[in-house]
Amino acid sequence: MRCKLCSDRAVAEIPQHRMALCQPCYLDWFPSYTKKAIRKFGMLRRDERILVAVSGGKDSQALWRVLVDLGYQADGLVIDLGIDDDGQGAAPGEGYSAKSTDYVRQLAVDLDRPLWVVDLRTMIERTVPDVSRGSRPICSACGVVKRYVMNRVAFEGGYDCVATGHNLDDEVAALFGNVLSWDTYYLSKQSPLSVQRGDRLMKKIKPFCYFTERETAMYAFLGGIPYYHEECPNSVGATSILHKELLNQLEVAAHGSKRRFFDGYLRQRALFQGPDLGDEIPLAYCRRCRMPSPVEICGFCRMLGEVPMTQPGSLAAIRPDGAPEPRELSAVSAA
Amino acid sequence: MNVRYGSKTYTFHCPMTVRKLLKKLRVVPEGVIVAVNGNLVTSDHRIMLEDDVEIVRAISGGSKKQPAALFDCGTRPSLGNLSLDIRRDGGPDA
Repeated sequence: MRCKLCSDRAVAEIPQHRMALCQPCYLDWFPSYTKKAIRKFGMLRRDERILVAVSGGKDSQALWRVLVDLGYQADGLVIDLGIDDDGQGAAPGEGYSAKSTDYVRQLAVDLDRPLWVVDLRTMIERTVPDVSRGSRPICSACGVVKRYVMNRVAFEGGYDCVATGHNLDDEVAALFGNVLSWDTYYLSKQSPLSVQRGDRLMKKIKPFCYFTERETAMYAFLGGIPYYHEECPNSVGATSILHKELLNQLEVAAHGSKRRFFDGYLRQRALFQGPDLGDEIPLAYCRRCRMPSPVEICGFCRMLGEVPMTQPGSLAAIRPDGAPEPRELSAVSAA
Repeated sequence: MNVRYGSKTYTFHCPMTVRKLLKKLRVVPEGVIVAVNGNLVTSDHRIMLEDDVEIVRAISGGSKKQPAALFDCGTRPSLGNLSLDIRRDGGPDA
């Protein structure tokens, strides 16, 4: 197989685009295609400060590298969720979460960019397995924790948006799941760009939304980006994996199916928005933590119960050198 | 050739293309990348007996148990409920 651009020996097949590329051409093509997605969805202005949520996996590690290479002011955030190799609560510095965090630290050094490290045990005196016990399934609790911490660090840390490494497979698997259950609320919301609401529900972007997982894996491999290959022990058997595998079989039989499914949804998303379907829920501020919430106490604080919440301003303790000027959490303006 | 996939190692005793290897292992190509001797390769790449092959799972969010096996051309091993159609490239139907 030959490279479509230079006719050298190809190493990376991209079936959805019906082409194959050699290593140098792939390493050029990947960031430029990221830039296309950023432009298409109007995700970023050149001067915006980005907080990249990095897990240590291939997608987020590659995203941080690409955004920095494209010249954006992109700093990292890693959350030590306190999960051990068996999916239970881990001692500090041990287990799955600690190993993942080490990969992010390594990349931060390589990129020479500031990295926020949030240790959940310090922030809320609990790990994700502790938080989920008796309240909700662990993956659900983990999602609440991550979304909260990402948004809070982005706001308090002085950033304009949060970037995540969600790829095309993540997007179509979520879409497929929402279609199966006809969840019109989520079907009205899914997007590569979630605009900022009020002063502290920060903008969220997914610049890799058009790359398959295989394409980001190839980029990480060819670009020599360090990443943790192991998956979260709690994700084994997740429904989203089944959806991804089914959609991959479809993709092999009909290249471009995943992209058509996603693009088609984005064109028709308005069908799910309207008075009785996907109305935006009005936001107020959580009485305990002062972050955005549709109800008096936000989902994160409700999940924590009586556990004392980190006080406003305490993120200053983990503020890395070179991060933007912090915002004051206690100052509340109209949402 | 030795093929590593997840926590398991498979041994094959006949050269074949990457496409054929994935078919034998019933691995969906869209969910993995394949490195031969440390280099990424395309599906038409022919793997030789002395090559070291690694199949890296690209799907994130979970893992599945893989059976361990020693493969020999011309045999049709049965591994529990995993039945594989294995024959020499270009050879007659088994």
